[in-house]
Amino acid sequence: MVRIITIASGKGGVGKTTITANLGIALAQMKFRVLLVDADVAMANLSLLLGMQSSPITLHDVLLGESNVHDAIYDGPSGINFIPSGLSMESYRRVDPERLEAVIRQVADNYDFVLLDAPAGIEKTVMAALAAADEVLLVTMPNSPSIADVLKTKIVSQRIGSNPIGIILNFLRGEKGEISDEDIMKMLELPVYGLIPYDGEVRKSYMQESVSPVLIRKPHSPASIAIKKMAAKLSGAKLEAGQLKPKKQGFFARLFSIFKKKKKASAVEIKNQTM
Amino acid sequence: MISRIGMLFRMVAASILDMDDTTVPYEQLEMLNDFLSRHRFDLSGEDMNTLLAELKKKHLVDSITVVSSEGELVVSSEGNGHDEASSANMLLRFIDSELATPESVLIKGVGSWFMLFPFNGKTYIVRAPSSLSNIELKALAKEIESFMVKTIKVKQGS
Repeated sequence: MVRIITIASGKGGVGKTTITANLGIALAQMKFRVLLVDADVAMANLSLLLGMQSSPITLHDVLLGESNVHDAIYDGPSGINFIPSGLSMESYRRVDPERLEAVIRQVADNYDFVLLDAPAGIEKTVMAALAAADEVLLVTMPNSPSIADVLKTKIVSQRIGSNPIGIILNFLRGEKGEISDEDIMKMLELPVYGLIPYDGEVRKSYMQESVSPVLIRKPHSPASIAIKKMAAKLSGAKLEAGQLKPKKQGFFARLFSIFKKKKKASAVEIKNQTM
Repeated sequence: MISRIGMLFRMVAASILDMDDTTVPYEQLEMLNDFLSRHRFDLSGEDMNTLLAELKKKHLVDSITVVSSEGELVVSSEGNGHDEASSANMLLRFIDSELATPESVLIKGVGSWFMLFPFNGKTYIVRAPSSLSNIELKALAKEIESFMVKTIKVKQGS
């Protein structure tokens, strides 16, 4: 039975898109059939993260009734399927986001998981993404502005009949002022599905010539491991012990990486000098 | 190397001198808890009027009226909605025959919005200070429909 889950937060910049992409990849690596949908019809960030921003047929075309949804499904990393959103402002102005639910239901039965990346805010496009799913996962950072927004998203999703199932706490740094997961759980009356630490590798995954999700680029980084654990919890699958340990670098590998960094730094210096 | 030693010193100094002055904002958490407590709604009752009152708060609307396809008033949160019921049905029929089959009809009145929404053989008339999307109107209608089905089952059982 397919599970259609929207990843939402209310607040922007809390890591919804990164989590959606990597959670989908983690589930696909566990041999589940996964469809990712860039339900952020205005911004299309998931499409950018997966390097599919120039797909010829997008969700815009499907929501406009100009293309078949099957033609908008592309192969992504680790065997996921993906429906990208378009970047065109013209088609964004014309799309009817309320059609999203019907579109998703047309293809959902071919998958074990359909994950929708919701836009930020609580406007019509967000409601469409929430209404299209059976379950909602709420992403928040451990601070009060982010929690305030996630509370509103929870209320909105309950109002339109979606079922919030849990919270994902992102960007955990272990600082004194962070609100604890227990306090957040108590307030939101929802279980925590994932505790994702702040990890510089996530940021770096956006800063490559070809953008690549952290789970592909650094599968043993702390954030990747936390996302794998979350995927296991969500699906009920078991993870092998080896998948949960950070990969230890040998002495020579570490030494090499120092030289590599120095080489890169000097390359940047030369580039700056020539400019 | 020197920068790493410097970083280590800063870390030790920060932890000893307690330079990190952040603290959990419990006052803000209390405020958020209070905010959330105002958004809990009991829809489990068996009285239609109580349900409508709860739905008005939940969906932030001023009134809800349900009319059968024949124009008969099914229920109204305001108690009396016969005139509204027949006008809404006539308006929807007119739009359907002359313009297009409407998913919903939104009228921006002075100070409030009127929303007409055909659903499951009935017409829902909702008045609110701001417009609701079809998704929200459908969710509201589904809650009333499921209540009606539940009460019919209870009546049939007793």
